[in-house]
Amino acid sequence: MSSVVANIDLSSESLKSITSDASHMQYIPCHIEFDGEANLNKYFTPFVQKKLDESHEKCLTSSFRGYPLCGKQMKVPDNFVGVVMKESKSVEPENANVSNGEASDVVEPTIKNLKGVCAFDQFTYWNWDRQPGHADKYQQALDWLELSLEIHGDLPVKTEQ
Amino acid sequence: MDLSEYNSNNFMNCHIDSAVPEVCKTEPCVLGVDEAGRGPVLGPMVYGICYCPVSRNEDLKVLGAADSKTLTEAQREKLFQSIHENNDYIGWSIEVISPTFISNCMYKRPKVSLNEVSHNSAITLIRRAMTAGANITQVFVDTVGPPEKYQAKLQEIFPTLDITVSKKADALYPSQGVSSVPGCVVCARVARDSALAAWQFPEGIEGGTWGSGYPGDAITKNFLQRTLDPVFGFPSLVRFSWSTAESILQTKGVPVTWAEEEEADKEKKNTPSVLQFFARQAGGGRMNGSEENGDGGRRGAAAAQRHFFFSDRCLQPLQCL
Repeated sequence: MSSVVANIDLSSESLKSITSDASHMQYIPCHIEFDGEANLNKYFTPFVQKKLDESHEKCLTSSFRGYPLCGKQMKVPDNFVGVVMKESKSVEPENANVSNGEASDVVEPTIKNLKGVCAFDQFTYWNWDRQPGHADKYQQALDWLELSLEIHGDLPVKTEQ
Repeated sequence: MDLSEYNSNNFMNCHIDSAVPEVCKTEPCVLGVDEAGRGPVLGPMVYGICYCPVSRNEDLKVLGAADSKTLTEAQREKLFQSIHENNDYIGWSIEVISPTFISNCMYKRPKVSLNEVSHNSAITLIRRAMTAGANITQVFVDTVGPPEKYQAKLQEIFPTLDITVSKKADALYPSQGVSSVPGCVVCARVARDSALAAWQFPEGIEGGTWGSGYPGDAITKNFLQRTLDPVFGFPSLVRFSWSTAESILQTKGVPVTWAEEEEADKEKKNTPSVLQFFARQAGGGRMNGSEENGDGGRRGAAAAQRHFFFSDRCLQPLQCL
């Protein structure tokens, strides 16, 4: 896979206020090839139901295009804030050395221009017909936050006894 | 029939029961199970049971319940009224199964088929009647799926009942004096007609006309095309899992891929062709897995790979300028 290089612009004024209403932000278990408006209030929110799962924890159910969803309201990890990025046209890489029939070893990176448009600290996480849990890729990806701090963070100060 | 409980939450299922007539609590009763609205792409599917004492079965026939599938909507309403007026010996119970529930079942992991949904509904209805005190001894059911399998399944769940599963029970049995099956079709169809007539779109849209609700109906197809939202698809009146709906969504909706379906597709593409195992190596010689030949030159020099810690978690490196 080609590497991705991004210009990230977080200067917008709109990022100064952080949305805390979890029902405004949905993490859905599918890939929608579309950027634009989606009328959640009309087609999604009326069908969200609160339920208690097997371990009596609060969970949510809903439906998207007939697919059953199980969800949970979640907070963004501590000391982090969620940002919705809007992408403007990215620069496509040029593939080198095609003329002599060999694929190049070096692939030019894709450049993306991302601009933060709104900030949030709560969202609703949805799984396709599975209770949200620790096995979810999203939850596992959060492991990296802790790990990266260990690897790249400052060394703890050791005191000799 | 009062369907207000269903109408206020029409994306969820709903049970509606008559009271159990006193005489049905003591005398042995015959019970029929049938459904309405299995085939359409719009609206709920309704399962219904109807029961009465075995001794009063002839009376049910006199009411005109035989051959109920050829009745008009008005005739069915009238027939239901008669059933209702005779509630001293006739009991009934229905389950309204919402279109959303049907779609959700068929898109579950693993999928729950429409036949399974039907079986579960029938089983629940029979159990409810028995739990409510009805003395059911005989059951007649129109089959869903292979009749022998269904009969065995029901007999195992209800070992004390005499169960008969067959195709087209209501046409088959009137001569034997069993008309309880036509009665339940009336209840089921009246419920479905009523639910559709009263349909309020939770999406707040005006649906307009939708014809018969069957996939072959041009007016129904027009309704599907007209009410499609590119992101969310159809309103909750529609069974998304029906192929008519699926193909319109695929053509006119924005593309949406679900992770597991994508993985299944990828696996199909990545499965190596058997011929690969018979291919010559780049450096000559046959593929025999010997040490000198290594992996047989199938792969080029391996590209530097990220640790699976990252790929497992769908993490990709990002450099910031």
